Amino acid sequence: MLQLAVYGVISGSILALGAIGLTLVYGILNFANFAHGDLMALGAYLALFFKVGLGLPMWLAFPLSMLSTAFIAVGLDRVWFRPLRQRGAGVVLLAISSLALALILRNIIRMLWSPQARYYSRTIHFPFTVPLLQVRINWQQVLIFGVALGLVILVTLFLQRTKLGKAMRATADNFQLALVSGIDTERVVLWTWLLGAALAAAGGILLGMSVRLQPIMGWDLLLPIFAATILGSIGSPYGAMAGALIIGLAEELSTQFIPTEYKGAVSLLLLVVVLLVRPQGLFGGRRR
Amino acid sequence: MELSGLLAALVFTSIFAGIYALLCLGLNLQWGFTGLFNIGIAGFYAIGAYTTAILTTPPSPYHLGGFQLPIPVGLLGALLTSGVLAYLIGKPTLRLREDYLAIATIGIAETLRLVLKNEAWLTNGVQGLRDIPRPLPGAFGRAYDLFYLGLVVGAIVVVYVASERLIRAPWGRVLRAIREDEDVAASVGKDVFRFKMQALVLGSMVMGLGGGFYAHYVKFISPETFNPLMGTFIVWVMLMAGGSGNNRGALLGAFIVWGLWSLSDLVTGLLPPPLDTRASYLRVILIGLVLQGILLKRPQGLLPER
Amino acid sequence: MALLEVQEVTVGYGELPILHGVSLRVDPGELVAIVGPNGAGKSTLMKTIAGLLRPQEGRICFAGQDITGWRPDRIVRAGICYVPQTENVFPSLTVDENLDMGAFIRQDDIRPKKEAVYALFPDLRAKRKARAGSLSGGQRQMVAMARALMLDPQLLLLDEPTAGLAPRLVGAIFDKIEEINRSGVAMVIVEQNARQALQRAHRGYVLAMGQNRYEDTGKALLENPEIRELFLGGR
Repeated sequence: MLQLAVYGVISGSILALGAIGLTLVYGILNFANFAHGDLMALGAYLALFFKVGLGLPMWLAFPLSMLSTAFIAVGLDRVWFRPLRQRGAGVVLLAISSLALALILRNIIRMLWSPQARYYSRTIHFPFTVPLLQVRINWQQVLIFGVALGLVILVTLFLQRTKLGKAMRATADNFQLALVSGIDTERVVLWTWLLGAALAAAGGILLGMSVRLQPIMGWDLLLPIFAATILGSIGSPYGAMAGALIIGLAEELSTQFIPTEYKGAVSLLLLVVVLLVRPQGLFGGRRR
Repeated sequence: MELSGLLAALVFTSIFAGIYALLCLGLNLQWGFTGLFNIGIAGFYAIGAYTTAILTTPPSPYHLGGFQLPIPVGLLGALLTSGVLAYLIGKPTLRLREDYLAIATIGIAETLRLVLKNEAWLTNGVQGLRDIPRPLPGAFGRAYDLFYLGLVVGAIVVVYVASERLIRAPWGRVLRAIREDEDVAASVGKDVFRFKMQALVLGSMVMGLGGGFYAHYVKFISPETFNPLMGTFIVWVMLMAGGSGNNRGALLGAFIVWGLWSLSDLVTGLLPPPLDTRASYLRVILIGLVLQGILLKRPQGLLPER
Repeated sequence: MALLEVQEVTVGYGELPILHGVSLRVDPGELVAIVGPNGAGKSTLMKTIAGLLRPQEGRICFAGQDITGWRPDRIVRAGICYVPQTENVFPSLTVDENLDMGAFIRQDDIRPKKEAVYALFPDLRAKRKARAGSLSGGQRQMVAMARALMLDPQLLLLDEPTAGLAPRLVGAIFDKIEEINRSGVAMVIVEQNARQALQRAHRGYVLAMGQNRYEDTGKALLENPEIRELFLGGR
């Protein structure tokens, strides 16, 4: 049990990196971005390019991928989503358009990196037993968790302490009020994409490190990160973190009771339960 | 290519276009008229196909089935299971904001795909179901495809006429009122949830029927057939291209988009490997761009709603 | 010279105009009340001044500048702050953070201003670390006003500040409004509580069916038998 819980916390921390960006974009631009999972995959593959393609060390490939994914996301918002917003497209059309973008990203990945599974390295990491806890874990998992946790703490500090971070939360809370408070919403949107996509890339890379890289990984991530977002109330980054932790734990612990193949269905189950019991999410007093 | 070969290819392509036309009519009922955001079409399509396949196939040691029931019974079963699935998904989501339905339908389609892959006793897993019977297999000789096309067109006509009558009736006016403004519809005393549920279930049943017609034509189905691209996304492209809220647009969109898609398949098929696999990715990228172009330049589609 | 001058403004959502040629004038330091029946277009007028809606016709001038069609954040910078009727706080932010957001465009040290605002609303000081969404209706209204005051606006627009509040709170809110006004901030308030609003305001406008019907001092409007009959429920 404890062993599974440890795995759950690790995968939850990876999911959290994806869910934070998703929930901020969802809250601020008010649409479900179905391309967010594939943005995570893109980040993972860009790191592969920097590491294996260019031969850079991972500690360099990692931030480079975050940075480039962030700028790609801003560019995509400019050419892909903003023209639709300016046409006054509704929630659904933006979401459908994001579905198209998701497919395009996924197939660009297939084209550039082949549909086969890829790995950052072939090193095998041997697990050791943590004293006292009797949990088996390897150093790579420790590293993955450490990086994810570090990023989550940094983001929390940013959202909590800086003016821009507070403005981001405020805009996700209530866009119109942000506008009449004089908050420069255009700048907030820009930074939301930068931050959200950089975190998405980090999550994608960490997932790629712990399992493997596959073009479909973004699609497989979609349901868990959406479930985490809704569980934690749309627009609330702290809620998304908590939601991701719950999803990660539930997925791993579920393998005690149901076949491992159905891990992916756990998100759906939790999602449906939340929608039935508390549709505004666990942390929300949000309208609608 | 000689003329008869060309004709055969045309009939073959039209059968699939016709099956997609059924899916489009179903989606039009949900999205076009009621504003329901279903992006798990593949799930309803799949459950329809698998239901009729399990009901009508001969006994097999590999999976449940072997009921050898008549095909019309299989199709009725398909209508039933897809309708029930729609009801189950609508229950928790239809009272909430519109995009929750979308996320839940994606979830159900993916979960269903997991079930199809893993419950081999029921579905033979990734191996898929084979030996699905065709209606009147011996008859019509080389003109069999033409006969089957006739069946599909017959189904389209029935669904089209029924849908048009429903839409022109007071029931359809309520649906459109809900699409325009749910609160207004509710304020004049309409049970919004019930009407949305009816549209969701009816539309999904049409999708299930499409799955049934698919299964009985190709005789073999596997979970991969019902992937998000071919099971869901392309149907959205068809409806947006043809004109959502217009049933004739839905039909037109299905035939045009399927025609272009098949044509592009023909072109990429001529390429030598490994270019051909790359080109197949390019096709998906192109269809994504086509959808975005429609959304930007002509969101009302070729035949706008009247 | 007038601080705010709304001239013959016509506004609508889509085809249907809500306001037909409405005019409004606010002098520096004045407290102006807008009253009228539901659906008269009072909130629409406020949103238009704040820049959330664009007038189809007419002009809006503020402090000698034509601000017609400006973006909301530019209007805020010009010195007009607006408090919407509902959803007027950031619920997941603390009271303190709400005030920070009110001062978003200020580059200077905002701590003295914050202290002054807390001095005006002492109840909020105790709640400064609480999430605004967890506060009572009256407290939320105070957070909303406090947020708007963080910029030292020349003109404050309040849309139904007492809507949905318990009667004993209504008086307290009006007292605050008068206090803020006495400190030199010109204000426009839209009110359902027409009687109280007109008693406290310097001048008032009666808006009905999207048009100006009456304009006079608050006192005169209250004494006008026709208005008493039509808009103040007789007596």
